[in-house]
Amino acid sequence: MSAVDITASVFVLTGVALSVLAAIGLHRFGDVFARMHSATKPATLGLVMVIIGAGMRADDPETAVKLALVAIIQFITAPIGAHMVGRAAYQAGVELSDETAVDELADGVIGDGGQGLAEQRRRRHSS
Amino acid sequence: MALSVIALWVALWGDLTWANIASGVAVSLAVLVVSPTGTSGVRIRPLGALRFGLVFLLKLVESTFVVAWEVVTPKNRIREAIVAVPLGDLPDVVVTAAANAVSLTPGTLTLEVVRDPTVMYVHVLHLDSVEGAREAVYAMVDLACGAFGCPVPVRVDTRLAEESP
Repeated sequence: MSAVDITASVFVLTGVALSVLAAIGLHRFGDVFARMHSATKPATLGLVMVIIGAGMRADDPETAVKLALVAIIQFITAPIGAHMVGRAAYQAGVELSDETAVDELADGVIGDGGQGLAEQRRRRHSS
Repeated sequence: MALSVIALWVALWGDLTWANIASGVAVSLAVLVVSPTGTSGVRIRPLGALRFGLVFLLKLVESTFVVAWEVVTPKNRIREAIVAVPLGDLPDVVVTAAANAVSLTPGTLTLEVVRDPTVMYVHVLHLDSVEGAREAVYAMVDLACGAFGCPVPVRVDTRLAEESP
């Protein structure tokens, strides 16, 4: 085993460990919104570390380019996915966990921009 | 813009063939028709973009450990909140970049963005203070502004927000 092999293995294993933590977080957190935190941050960094590890052992530049693209696309899509799931959950009236202290979206404290979403949520709740 | 989408498409297939280029043209046109991008008049500033990228990567590592720690500690001290962050009239690309970056930085997750006026609603995992959370988002938007250039100030009057309990 060369030094490169060992470093690559460390990256891949760390990435896998982070992904496992993200999965445990999905199970443990109290509501959809907290779960989305777990689904974005450790999961993204975990994948990126696996990609770095795999990139070190890539045989040709073409593979390395593809791996880099996977990382970039993950950076773009993971937050959008979490944003959409969170938005849909809020709109559908999913309960916020007991630890939620402030909900300025429901309070409509700034302008009336968020009122469409908050209104839909209230309608779901009352029906 | 169409060229960069075609280049991405061909790179993903991995072969520079006429069939890939032709299908890339078709896909990029379809994508750009379905979702027009507001990149007109926006210039990337290399230094600002580099700074945005580096801070973003550091924050991603930090936030990963914050969330990971939250996962492994049995007694959690989570205090969640949804905080409204009013923004100036910023270009789409800045709002998009900032919204994505906010979702990958410690304890914050973009839930909703509305325009006219632009307000970003952010879910916070560990709320210390509403102002503190808002300031963290502003800091990220500032960095995105450094990368793409902003015509107007990022921060807007939050008196309305401060009146609420």
